[in-house]
Amino acid sequence: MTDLPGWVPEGVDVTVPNAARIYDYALGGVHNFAVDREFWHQTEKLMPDAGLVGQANRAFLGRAVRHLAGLGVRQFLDIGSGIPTLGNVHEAAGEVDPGARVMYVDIDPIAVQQSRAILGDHPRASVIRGDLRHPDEILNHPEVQRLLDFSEPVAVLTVAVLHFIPDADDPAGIVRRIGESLVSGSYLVLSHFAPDEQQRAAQEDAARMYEQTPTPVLMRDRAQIAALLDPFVPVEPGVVIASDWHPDPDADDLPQPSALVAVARKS
Amino acid sequence: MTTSPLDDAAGDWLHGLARAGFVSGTRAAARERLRALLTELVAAALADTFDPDRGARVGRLLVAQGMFAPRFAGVTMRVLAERMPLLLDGDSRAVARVPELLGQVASGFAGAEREAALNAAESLSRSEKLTWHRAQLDLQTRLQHALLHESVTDLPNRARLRAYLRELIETAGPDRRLGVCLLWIEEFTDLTKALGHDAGDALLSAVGVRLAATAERGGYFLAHLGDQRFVLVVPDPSGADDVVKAAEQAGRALAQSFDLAGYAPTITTKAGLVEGLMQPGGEARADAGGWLRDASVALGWARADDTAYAVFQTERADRDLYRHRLTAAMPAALERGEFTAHFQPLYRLADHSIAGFEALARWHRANGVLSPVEFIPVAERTGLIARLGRYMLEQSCAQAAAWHRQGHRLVVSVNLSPRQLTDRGLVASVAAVLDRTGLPPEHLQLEITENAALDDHRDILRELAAVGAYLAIDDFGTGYSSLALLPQLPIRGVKLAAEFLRALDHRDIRSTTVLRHTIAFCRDLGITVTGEGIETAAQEQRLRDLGCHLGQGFLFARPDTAAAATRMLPA
Repeated sequence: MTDLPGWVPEGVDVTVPNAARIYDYALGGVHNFAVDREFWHQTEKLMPDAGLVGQANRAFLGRAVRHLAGLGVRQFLDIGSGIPTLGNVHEAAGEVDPGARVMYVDIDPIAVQQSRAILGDHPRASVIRGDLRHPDEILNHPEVQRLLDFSEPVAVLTVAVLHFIPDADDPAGIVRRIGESLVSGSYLVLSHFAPDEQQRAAQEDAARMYEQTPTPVLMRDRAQIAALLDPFVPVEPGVVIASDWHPDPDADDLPQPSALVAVARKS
Repeated sequence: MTTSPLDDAAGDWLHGLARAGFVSGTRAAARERLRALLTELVAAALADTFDPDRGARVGRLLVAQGMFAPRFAGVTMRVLAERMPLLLDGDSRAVARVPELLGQVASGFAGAEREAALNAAESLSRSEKLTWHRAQLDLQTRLQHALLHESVTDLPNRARLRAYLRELIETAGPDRRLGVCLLWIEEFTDLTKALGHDAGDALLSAVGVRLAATAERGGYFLAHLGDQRFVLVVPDPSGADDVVKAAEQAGRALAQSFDLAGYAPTITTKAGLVEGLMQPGGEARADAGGWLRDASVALGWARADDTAYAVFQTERADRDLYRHRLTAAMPAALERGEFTAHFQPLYRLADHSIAGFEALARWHRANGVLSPVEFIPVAERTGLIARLGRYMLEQSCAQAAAWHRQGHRLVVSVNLSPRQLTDRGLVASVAAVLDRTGLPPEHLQLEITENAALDDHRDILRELAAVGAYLAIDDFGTGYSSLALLPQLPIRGVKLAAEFLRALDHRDIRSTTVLRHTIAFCRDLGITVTGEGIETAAQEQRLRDLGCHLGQGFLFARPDTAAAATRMLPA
């Protein structure tokens, strides 16, 4: 049969490693399958700093969310959220503003189901299945429309997710489309796998590992990432490595150049 | 800035944890939490009554605060073993309690971590099952939809339509009526051939959209049976007019040209309509299939008659059905010899002597004998007329040859259908039959109906004449041939159309004048004129007066078997 119907469900094959669950395991979480853990062990062998990169990325997410909540942003749309366990957005935002609302979006149906189980009937946090490549479907989703008020600023988080979107899928167009639907004062929070000359070979080995998953990963450098931000404009300190973005004064983490990040504002 | 040993220890602990794994929240908050845990441990060690379980509680709290990476246990043990004794103000009893306390921390940590992991595993397993279940439900829903909808237009398909009709019929009250309009797009096949299947699909899709709007406005149920066939179900019509109205609305909706990849084709529709009482349990159209079958029959009429629509009528359908049955039965009947030739005498009007016989086919069926009007049209439509014609020719010539051998110089007149005139093997088979039966060719007359547009068959008529057979025009005066054509064709006889006899009966002076001149004209050309269907002596008298040579009809004799015909001949 050459013309397979488009209704074979994707992403419910737990024999294939999944980025959301791998990340959960990398952060010390327990919501993962053996195949994900095995994948991560292989990745760490090829790129021993991979765990630290993941932690730096997750720490940045927490700092960015707390920072924006501190600026008065009360709504967060986390696309590619994975499983909201350790260092999740609703807890980070809730620390600053208990009224903050968080919409999680992930492409993996099991991650979504798992998120649903973790969130229970949380009044200000919810989850839907969605694909960043189709931003309109996410923005127009009834659940998103119910939880978030698009006449007020929204912080859209694309943390460790745009590196799964190849140029062929027009990541800049996706960000632009999202930007167009948000009011002035909204933000884009972004982190991205980036080339590090010191460990380029290890990075490429690790990237090749991800070709076994439904979501192969690719690196973009600072300029390429900056080119994805329109109509958002990066706030200080611009596009930087994760540990350099408003670092925690009490932290003494080693810099991880493999994760570039930015927080950008729509004016 | 001075810091307490407790702060130092908490900072050291946090530093170790942050190196070992991910610590959520701000470092300041994390240090506060760790400081609180340390304070609790110190208090537990110094307490008058030692409760080692307080250590286990601290271990559980670490996990509850998200610090459950396995490496955190090692870091915690190392830091606490090193720092705790320094925080106990030299209380040796308390210092001695530290190892047990730490053991309890480790137990609490391990227990809580195991609990968290097992809970997560259970939850994950449940999520996986739920996701699969949901995916399967979704698949089932889509499959169900696909089974009940046509893929190109996404409209309800035949199965869905049948289910809909079935439900209507089963729940209908005794007086409830139903209308079904089966629409057919005439140009679909040609457009698909010309523009390709994708364009064909695009056309169907656009047709579906327009018809859906029509259905919505009219309150009709719309289905797509595939390709160029759509159905509108009209609920509760007051009569066939309501279904005609639906067909006309659909026709108007589709009349505007379509935009199809640079082409703007226009289409026309034909419609087969059925309307009537649903009569659950009744005889006619007891089920959904019956309604669709009847609509399809009516569509066939609309297409055959080239009208925009046709409304189903039971009588016409019964006739069609009867013909279909005859069609199906005819080949085997020919094999079994159910067809025979009957003979009706041709009398010389001058002296009432028998000049010959017209051979007429009869079909002997189990339930009676059928005359040619019932089965010849069927035979012509199916092409079986060629076989039947040859068979009749053979039987007729054989009989005529027998009479000839008995000394009767008779003509046998056999009908040729227009279809037979297009048969390239006709002349050869006539010659072969004459040869085989030994009948002199001039004793065979072949009757050709005037409807056959004789002008188109000049060549074959000449060839037949060349074989030696006589040719006669049947039903003369009704068809296409003109008097002017007669001298140009090898025609030896004409049989007057029945209309002329009726004109005689009604004393229609103008028609009688035409008849008189026609007969005179034929006589001048040496063409034998036969009056057919003579039933009264008055008719015979008039024809004789006008100069008609031969007469045939019930007045003289009905067609009968060869044996009976033989008995009519002089001994």
